[in-house]
Amino acid sequence: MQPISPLQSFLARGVLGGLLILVTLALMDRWAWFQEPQDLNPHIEKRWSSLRKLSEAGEPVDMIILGNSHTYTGLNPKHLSAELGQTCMVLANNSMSWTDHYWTLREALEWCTPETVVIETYGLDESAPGARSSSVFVNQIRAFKARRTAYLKFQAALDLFSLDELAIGLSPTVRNHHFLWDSLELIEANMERGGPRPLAEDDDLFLGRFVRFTSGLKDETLARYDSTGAPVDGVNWKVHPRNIDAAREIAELCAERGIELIWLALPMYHRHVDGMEEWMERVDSIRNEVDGAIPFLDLMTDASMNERPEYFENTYKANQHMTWQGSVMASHRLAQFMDSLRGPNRTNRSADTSWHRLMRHSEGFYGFQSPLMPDSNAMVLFREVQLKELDVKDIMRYRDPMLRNEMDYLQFRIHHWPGYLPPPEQVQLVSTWEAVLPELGLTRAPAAMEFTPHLSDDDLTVFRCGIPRKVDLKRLTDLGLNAK
Amino acid sequence: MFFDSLTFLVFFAVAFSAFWILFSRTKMARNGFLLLTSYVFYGWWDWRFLSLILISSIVDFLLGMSMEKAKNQRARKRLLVLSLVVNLGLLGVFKYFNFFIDSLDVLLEVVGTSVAGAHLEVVLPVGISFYTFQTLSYTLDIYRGRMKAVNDPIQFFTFVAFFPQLVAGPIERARDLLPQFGNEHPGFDVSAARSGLLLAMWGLFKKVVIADRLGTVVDATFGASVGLDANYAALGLICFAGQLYLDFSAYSDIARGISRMLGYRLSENFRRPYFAASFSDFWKRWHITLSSWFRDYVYIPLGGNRGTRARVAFNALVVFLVSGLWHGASWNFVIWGGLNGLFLVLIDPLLERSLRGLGTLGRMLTAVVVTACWTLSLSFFRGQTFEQAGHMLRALMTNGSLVPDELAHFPWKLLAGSVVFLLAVEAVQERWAQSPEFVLNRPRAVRWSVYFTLCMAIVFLGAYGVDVTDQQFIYFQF
Repeated sequence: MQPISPLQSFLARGVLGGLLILVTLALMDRWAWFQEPQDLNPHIEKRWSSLRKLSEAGEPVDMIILGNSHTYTGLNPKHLSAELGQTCMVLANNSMSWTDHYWTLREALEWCTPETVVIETYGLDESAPGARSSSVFVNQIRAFKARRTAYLKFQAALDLFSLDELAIGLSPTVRNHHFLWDSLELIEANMERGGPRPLAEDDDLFLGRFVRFTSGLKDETLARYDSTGAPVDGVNWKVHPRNIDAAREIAELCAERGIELIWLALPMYHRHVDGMEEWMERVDSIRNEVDGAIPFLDLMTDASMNERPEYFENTYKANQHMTWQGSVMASHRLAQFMDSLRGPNRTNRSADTSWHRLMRHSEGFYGFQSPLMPDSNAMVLFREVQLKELDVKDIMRYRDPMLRNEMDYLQFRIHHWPGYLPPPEQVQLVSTWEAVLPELGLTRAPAAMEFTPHLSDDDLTVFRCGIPRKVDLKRLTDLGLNAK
Repeated sequence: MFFDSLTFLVFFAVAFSAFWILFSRTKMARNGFLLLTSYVFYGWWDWRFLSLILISSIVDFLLGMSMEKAKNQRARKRLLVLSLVVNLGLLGVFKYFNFFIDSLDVLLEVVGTSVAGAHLEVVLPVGISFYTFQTLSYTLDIYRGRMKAVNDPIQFFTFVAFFPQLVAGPIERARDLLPQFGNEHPGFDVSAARSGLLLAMWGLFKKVVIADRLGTVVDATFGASVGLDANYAALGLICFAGQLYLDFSAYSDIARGISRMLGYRLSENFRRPYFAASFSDFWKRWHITLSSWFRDYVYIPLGGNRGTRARVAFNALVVFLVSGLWHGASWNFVIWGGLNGLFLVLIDPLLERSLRGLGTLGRMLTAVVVTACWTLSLSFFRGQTFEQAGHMLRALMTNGSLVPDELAHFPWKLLAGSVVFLLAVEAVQERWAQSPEFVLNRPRAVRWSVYFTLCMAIVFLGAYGVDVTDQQFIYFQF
């Protein structure tokens, strides 16, 4: 046997050193010491988990809906399922581009054989895969993490992340290494837990819907359109070439598998977008470029949808979602459109009793800080208490680890807001808290909680305010409502 | 492709292995492979940049050969002038043309005319100032009879494009580096490879852990609007002095380290400049290869130290003004260069007279004065405009109240700890003339612990990640 040369020895040691570092990082990833706090609310994971559970239970999924947050707020899968007699599942994730939709679909097809794929067109935009500085990147990482098929993940990694971003994308330890100096308490909490946080399991049927906005556009927001104009520029809407390629790949994939593909544009309020028609013409021209035979339901320019303030989230931010009411109407319109395309030739499980049993489960509304989940950041102070006329589900102190301003939230969730009271957005929930402060001794201070629409839904009305983190809360007294 | 990227790590790992396993045996294979990898490295930015480096290489290779064969000095001079015209012409067009147009435009404004329309839509090719000076040293040295022309184009092209030092130096002299691409290659030497690896890792640590974090403070303070707090303005300038040194010396360390791993020696470019005992000492420690280039090819031809004191001062000022312009096509850089020339000419003699004889204390005071003056001059280096530079200088003298938002949650302790650690290492090096490579003589367990700790420090303490602005190597812009 030839002796090992110095070069071979050097290279071997280099490889060994590299492996040592990789193994160290992999172990830390496995122990989840650097798990990000957003993982405490893993609705993306939950969608995939739900799809896999349906698949393992032999329950067919008839329709997959791809898109971003507009889709999981703007469509109501339970309603759609009921209307079509099909199991419809929303596999949308925040801020996703069509490149990511392609990999989502590839993964989904490993678990189910849908008859129809609906893809929402908002993600046909200029965001390039792996744009590190934008929110796209973080969400792309979460969506990537949630997928399970190894060979597809490998292929997707090469497409979605540049080589420089790969380590940041794949390893939470590398990505969140800054916890070491800015959030040491998170690492301690993660170490104490001793492993990754398991997904909350429950018997709900989760078809992928997430946040519901309950209040529509309000007068003051509508007035801003007069004073400031539309916040979204549809005229100059740009599309990244990779996303057009992805549109083509999605169409080809569906054609290969004999899956019906439908493009859907969910609406925004008509005054929210400048050049809505030009935007949709651009989308339509891309559709024609890809395959003109793909059906396209454009609800964006549909006046019966886009002129109804109650259908839209009360926001002037560019990213406007639909309300629960709007989502029901959009789902109805999509179901009608699908009926018009194939009518009775579509699978309809309305007569299937086992399908009815499946659908009888309540659709899991997966809100922020659900007390069902063990959450070290959420301290439930009271549950199910009657405070004057308010039926309070829980009172919670919530620490958002992403907030570094030394403030916590004090949060009230109230069942069924009484109709005889003014609407929640017109009142403040006031109380007085008592605490012993190190420098002041026993202290009392007022807390004025504001209605928080993005956490509220039809059943639960959420009020929140900030309280200093150092406050060791002893009592809450004098609860009342103040008109604003 | 940046030295502090994963792409470069993979690129270099492949290039290093392939070089030693497949291409290291013959000069032709070595140079051919290095040339190819260097062009891939450079073309990674923009393949169109390759045309300029090719033009520069071809012209100087042919002119070098012609100069060697030229029968008389006049012909040699003509060829040298041609080399200067082509190389400085390319530099002039790509780096300075728009600057001259802007300056001319300001002058012509007086007579009511404008040449603003003559702007060129060109991108400044990365590293053009570095490789232009490097290749010029070749024709200048042949002209002066200090070296012979090479007749192997691959060898010459590899010298011009050698990827470790192509985009930000060290600016090697042809007579030092070119022969290493001849038959002098030493073959694989494990101790050189180890020390090269350690040097490169040390450079990466300086860049990612300290320089880039300093960069956050610098960006926040220089980017702040009016009303900046005076303390933060001072802090911004001091941090920039640290960032500039660490960023650039880190690049040089990585360049020298990876070259050493491939069996090539590059010149030292920094020698702890903030310990300098005078301004002239500072310039023997800062960007040494550029300073010595200007000394040999500008200062000495102008007369150097010969002549009256006024003449010597004039020569030094010319060099510093040109050096300022070399850094960037902007009057800010010219002022920065001029200020440093004035420091050298005016303050150095004062320092020598007043602090000589105070021993270590005098030396420390001198280092503080030199560093303080240098740091002040950097307001023109970092400020994009006169206004920004002036704003920083004014902020130092006024009671502002603005604390940049970006620094509200800045990890000051981490930064302070890293800086103290670095200063301790540099002080040890300065006092005992040790380099970081002293680790290599320690037992294997110590060596491996150091390697592992450095890697982990880079991963866990580095200023990178989602929503962190990438800090490119500062000298890439030149």
